[in-house]
Amino acid sequence: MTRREAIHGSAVVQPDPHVAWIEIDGEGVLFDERSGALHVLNPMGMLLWQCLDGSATLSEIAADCAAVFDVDLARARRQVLELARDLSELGLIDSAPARTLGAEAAKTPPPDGPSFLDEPPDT
Amino acid sequence: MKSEAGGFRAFDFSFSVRMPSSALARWLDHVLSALASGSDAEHRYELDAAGRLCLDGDPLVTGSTIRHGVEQLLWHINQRAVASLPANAVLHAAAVSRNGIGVILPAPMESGKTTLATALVLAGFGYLTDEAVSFDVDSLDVLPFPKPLSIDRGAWRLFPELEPRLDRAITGAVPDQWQVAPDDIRPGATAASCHPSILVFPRRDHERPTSLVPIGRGMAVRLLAQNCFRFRDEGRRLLPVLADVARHCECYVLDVDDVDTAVELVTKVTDAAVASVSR
Repeated sequence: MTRREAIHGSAVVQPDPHVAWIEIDGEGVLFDERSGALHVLNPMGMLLWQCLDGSATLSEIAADCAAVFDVDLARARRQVLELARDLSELGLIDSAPARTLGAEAAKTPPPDGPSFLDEPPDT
Repeated sequence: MKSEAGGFRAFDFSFSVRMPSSALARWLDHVLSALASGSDAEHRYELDAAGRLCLDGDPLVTGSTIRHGVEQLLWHINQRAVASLPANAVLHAAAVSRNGIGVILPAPMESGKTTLATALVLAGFGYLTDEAVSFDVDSLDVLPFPKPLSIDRGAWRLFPELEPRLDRAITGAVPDQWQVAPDDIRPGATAASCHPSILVFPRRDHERPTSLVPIGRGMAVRLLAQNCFRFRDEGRRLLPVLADVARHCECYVLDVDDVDTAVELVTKVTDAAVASVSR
């Protein structure tokens, strides 16, 4: 199973301890001390990043987002899972094993949401 | 004949240089004139006629030609200057200022930093550095490092008036790059410490017209980090410092095809910032 496939709605994740980050104007800048890689999160990505605190499942976070932003729950779930999968693939988040379940994973559609990671202009 | 040059101070690195001839010592005193400290140096380089370079008696270059030794000397001064402020965030960047507005130009080597800085100083900006920008830990002020502008052969045609007039005795001994003291561009060109207000990330691009495009501060922090000395090892400590710098600045990417247009664009946003401060 790839890191990406391991992320599903019942997963509980948290920032990897090797990742330093700051928020600026709503955007996030993440620095992976192991690889030296830098990543920029757009404001929505940063908001979600700050919700990945190792206590709530991704489904719970999606439900909160759907309620707060008054968006469709299925859409919110897709977007939260897409971000978490991107972050997991980059090694920026860890699972919090005690609450990692598997049942909802199989029901989750493949990611098709927007990217939360910004790239420099024209690179 | 005197062959000692200095003392000089580059950030917190204080040094003098014993050169192999008085003519070379005069040349070094001239090109490093903006770094002259007027005080005794803490460290001493010695360069001999065989190109051997030592610092405080320790060999740095075992010798080949005087020119190679001089090139290594100038390179080593930059390295020691950057290392002299270990607590500070230090960027690989040029910097200029106008009416107290600091314009920082972070970019990797060969991105045209020196060319742009030279053109901006010719246009009336004050000179801070063409190589390394250090931010004061507490105030975030930009500390001047007014080393000579090192102008590559490819940019000579843009600034023919800056061609150094060298003593014939040293033409084979000095680097192939022009080493231009800031006062040779304009007397009094060196600027004082100032607050960073504008971040411009120059990119040499001959495929599209010269343009200055605003970018978000998150992206600016990423680009700052990519041009920050020691960031790979000390990123956790330096990331908040770079974010503080970006919070105080307008941020742009500058695609440079034509230098004159680039200068016009940077001047325009700087003048707007000056006007904004004075309102």
